[in-house]
Amino acid sequence: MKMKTKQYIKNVTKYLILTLIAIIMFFPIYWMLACSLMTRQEVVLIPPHLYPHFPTLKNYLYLFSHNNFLRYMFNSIIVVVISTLLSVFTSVIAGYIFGKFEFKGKNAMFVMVLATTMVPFQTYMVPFYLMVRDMGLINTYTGIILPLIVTSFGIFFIRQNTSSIPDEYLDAARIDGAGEWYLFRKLIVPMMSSSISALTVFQFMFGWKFFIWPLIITDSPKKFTLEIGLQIFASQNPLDYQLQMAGAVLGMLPILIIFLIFRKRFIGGIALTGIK
Amino acid sequence: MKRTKKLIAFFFVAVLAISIAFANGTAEKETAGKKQVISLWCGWPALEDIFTRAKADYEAENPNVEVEISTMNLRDFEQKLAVSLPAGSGPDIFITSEYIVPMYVNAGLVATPPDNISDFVNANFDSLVKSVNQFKGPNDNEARIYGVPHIGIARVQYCNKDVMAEAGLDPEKAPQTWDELLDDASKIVKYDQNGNITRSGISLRIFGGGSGIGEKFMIKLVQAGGSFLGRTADGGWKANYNTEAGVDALGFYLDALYKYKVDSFEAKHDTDAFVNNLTGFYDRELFPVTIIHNTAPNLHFATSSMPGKVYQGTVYSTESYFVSNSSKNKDLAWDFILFMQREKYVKAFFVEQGWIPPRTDIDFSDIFAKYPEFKAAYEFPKGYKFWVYPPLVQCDEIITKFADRLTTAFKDSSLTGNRTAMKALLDELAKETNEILAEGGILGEGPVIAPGDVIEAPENLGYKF
Amino acid sequence: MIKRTQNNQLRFAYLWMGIILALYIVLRIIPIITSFGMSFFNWDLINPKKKYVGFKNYSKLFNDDNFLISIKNTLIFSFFVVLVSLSISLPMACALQKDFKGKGLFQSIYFIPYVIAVVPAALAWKFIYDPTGGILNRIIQFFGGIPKGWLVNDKLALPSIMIMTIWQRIGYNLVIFTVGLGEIPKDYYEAAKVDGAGKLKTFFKITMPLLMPVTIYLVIMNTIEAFNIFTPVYVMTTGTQSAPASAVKVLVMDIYQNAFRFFKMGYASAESVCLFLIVLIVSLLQMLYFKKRDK
Repeated sequence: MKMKTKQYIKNVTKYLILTLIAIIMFFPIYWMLACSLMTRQEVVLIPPHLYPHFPTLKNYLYLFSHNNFLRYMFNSIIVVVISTLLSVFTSVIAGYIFGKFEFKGKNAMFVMVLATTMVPFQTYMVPFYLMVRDMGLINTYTGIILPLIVTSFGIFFIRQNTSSIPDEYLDAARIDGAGEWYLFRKLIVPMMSSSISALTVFQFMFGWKFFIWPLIITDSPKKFTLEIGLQIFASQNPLDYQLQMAGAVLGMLPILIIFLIFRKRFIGGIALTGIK
Repeated sequence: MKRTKKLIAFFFVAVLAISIAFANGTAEKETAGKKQVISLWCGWPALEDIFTRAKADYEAENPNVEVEISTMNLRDFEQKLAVSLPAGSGPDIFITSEYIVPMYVNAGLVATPPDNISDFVNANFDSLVKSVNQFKGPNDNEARIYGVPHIGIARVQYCNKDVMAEAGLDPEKAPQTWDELLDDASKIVKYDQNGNITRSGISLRIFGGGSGIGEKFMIKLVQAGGSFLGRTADGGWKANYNTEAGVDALGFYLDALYKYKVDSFEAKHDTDAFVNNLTGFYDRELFPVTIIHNTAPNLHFATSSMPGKVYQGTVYSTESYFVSNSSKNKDLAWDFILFMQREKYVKAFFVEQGWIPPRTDIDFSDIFAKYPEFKAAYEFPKGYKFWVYPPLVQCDEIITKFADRLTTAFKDSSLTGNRTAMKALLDELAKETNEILAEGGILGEGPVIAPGDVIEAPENLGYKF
Repeated sequence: MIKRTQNNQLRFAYLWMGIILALYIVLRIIPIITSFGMSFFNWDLINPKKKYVGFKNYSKLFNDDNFLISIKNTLIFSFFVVLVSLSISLPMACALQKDFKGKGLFQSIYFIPYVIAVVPAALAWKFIYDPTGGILNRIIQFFGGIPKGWLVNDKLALPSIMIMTIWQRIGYNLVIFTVGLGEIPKDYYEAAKVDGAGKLKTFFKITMPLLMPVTIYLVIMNTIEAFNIFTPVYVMTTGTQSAPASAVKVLVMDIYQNAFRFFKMGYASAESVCLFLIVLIVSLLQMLYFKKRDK
């Protein structure tokens, strides 16, 4: 009897603490949503309203009519989708080749990739910017996507995961007359699907969060990504918190929706990247 | 299942990629064939409304032209300008100040105005704004005006007449010397039982964004008879604020904070405090005039020229329209700029945003009738001195870092009254400033022979009213 | 036959590696080397002139208050963010070990802050911290306390940003820890129970050591990201309502400012190189420290 109640109390405490933490962690996001539905006056009231007493969609209407928010979303989606596809593609191919092939110079190349893994973008963003400028790619989609095309983390990650593919299987297929590209498409990719989707998830999030580069490289609102557009909008309307919050909600909506749909994939993907 | 998903994804992206390329392509075709597009960038989001209205009017008059207006906060705007102009991808028109544009003019990135524009500017703008906007490009024999001035703003002093009257002062008599100012402020300041200020005598700029602090300090520096940077005999620049005048200026703040105790870090500041009768005086540009009329219509206030110690003086800065040299539609750009010079829009900027047009050909008496406080922007006492931003690339860095150090100095009450310590501090700051100048290759040798950033009000500005 | 497949393989390898390597060289190697090289010159963005100055940029850096303050701020920031976020997420991961009703829901809620983009989150927090309109101060005022300038006050600004960053990182750390904990074979726990070891003892003697590789990974990843922090600082401190720059300046902010506001490209490059070296050294030290502890 005593053990059971003790266990019960422990469970309840656990639930309570976890819920408390969940509330605290979720609060800023809830607050964003709540304030986006409030009016300008309600949003700064004392004593504060913890939920909108007269919810209104006015703020969102304002954003869509007065602003290029749809355009920003479109830009972000283009940049992220294309860059993710490209970076995953390059990582899978390069990782596969590093993992399953032997050729002269392979080690040297791999060391080169490895050495730059730890160099964060901020370190070389200045010369990168100059290079993009010389190429005439300032304020273009290509320019924004450029830094995201290759990722040494991705190459490394895929390479690690190729070790689980038995060589004999590949050789057998080759002897049967399979071409290398066919091999890649039909055998390798399906066998690595879980790591590929993990990497896709990771790259997708990384591309979405990329701020400092689009900040430097875009100058016309037509090319702003969602993050940049939101930041500029906020600085143009510093006192209209309700508008800022509505914009913030829009800013997080796309990725939030994707997250909610692919929840398991997402968390699983991130988890997989940790097992390296 | 997963394969099909991948195929769909690839297909989707292919379509996306093609459509972007297509869209980009047609955008080019559109601009070439149908509508001509000119872009205007500006670092003042508050102006967006007026530009949007003007844009609509202009496009109605010129149906085959589209004007893109882009306003963003000042720092972002300046950074984007720096990033895009040298790359040839910037805006057709941009609005910036007389101290930011010289480096672009020097690099040949700013278009020379055609004759009709130059004539227009010469005929219709006051001599002060014209005098600070002379630049020399790589193909010029002598300095000339490159843009069309938008505003010329001398900071003014705001006096809360209600608060002054309540403190037993004559509300019509604005303080015109440092002593008068501190005296009046001492009568106005109120404290609670813990000694905290509930109503400050004067609201000083002692914290917040960097350049504002620096700017307001320059005002005191000029009034003390000094200058921030000076010129040397060899044409170089040198820090000039580590002088007795500099000590006086720094001393003013410290005295106000710790000797007379007419302001503090915790008190409410700026326009906010002013409209709530929580301060007697403060210095600002002229946009608060409209704000105060709108938010506190029953408040009695006045603007006046700044008080002085050795001279009366203030800070003066301008913003002008410029055209980029890599613009493909220069004629159109100048046309739009000329369009913005119409009385309707000039007055809109004036009244709605407090942007003071330095126009000698327009009659502003209707505006002055409603907002007499704007007059102080056009009337200067004899011998009024103006501090203007030195047209140096290093200016931003020097002033930002200087302001950072000032903020710390303001918090050090032990410096109050200690002229030796203050001078030592200013010497230290001057060393840093000179280092930055040396890096830029413009540090001068020898003593300062002339102030580098102080000018005097012209005898006749050219106004008709 | 075998020869042909081998040739095929080589062709495939060289072709694709060639393409990717070329991309790599252009997009990574060259910029990194250029960054290093540019640090020996002085150049502003606008004038094409470049002046060779040798190591002068570096010596100037070490005398530059701004740089030193940036390093200090970044170090403090990273240290606390890594320490606190890991310390909070580890116990949480332990609590989420066993399957129970709602475990998935909890995990998702904790993970959401990491998923959403930085700018919306930073704006939300900026509003929460706002001195007059922010919910934090409004609640404090409602209960009669003294509202504080969270992002304006020198001493509070950096910690406030730290809190937001920790909030975002917890989800990620949590997931990785969960995976790491899951890897530990159950038999170890069984054996410990049989031996009569208490909860705490089990934790320190079995869980922690076996969790080492994951912990090392997280510490290093979190540190690197903390060192490179830019976006939240930028978003929360631009505008007039902000603390004096020196209180919140972190390294990347300083680099950005030097490059794109003061137009000192060479100087900013030297600073970038320093950033890289610092990150490298700190990561190596961390690895060494943990390897030592393992013994």
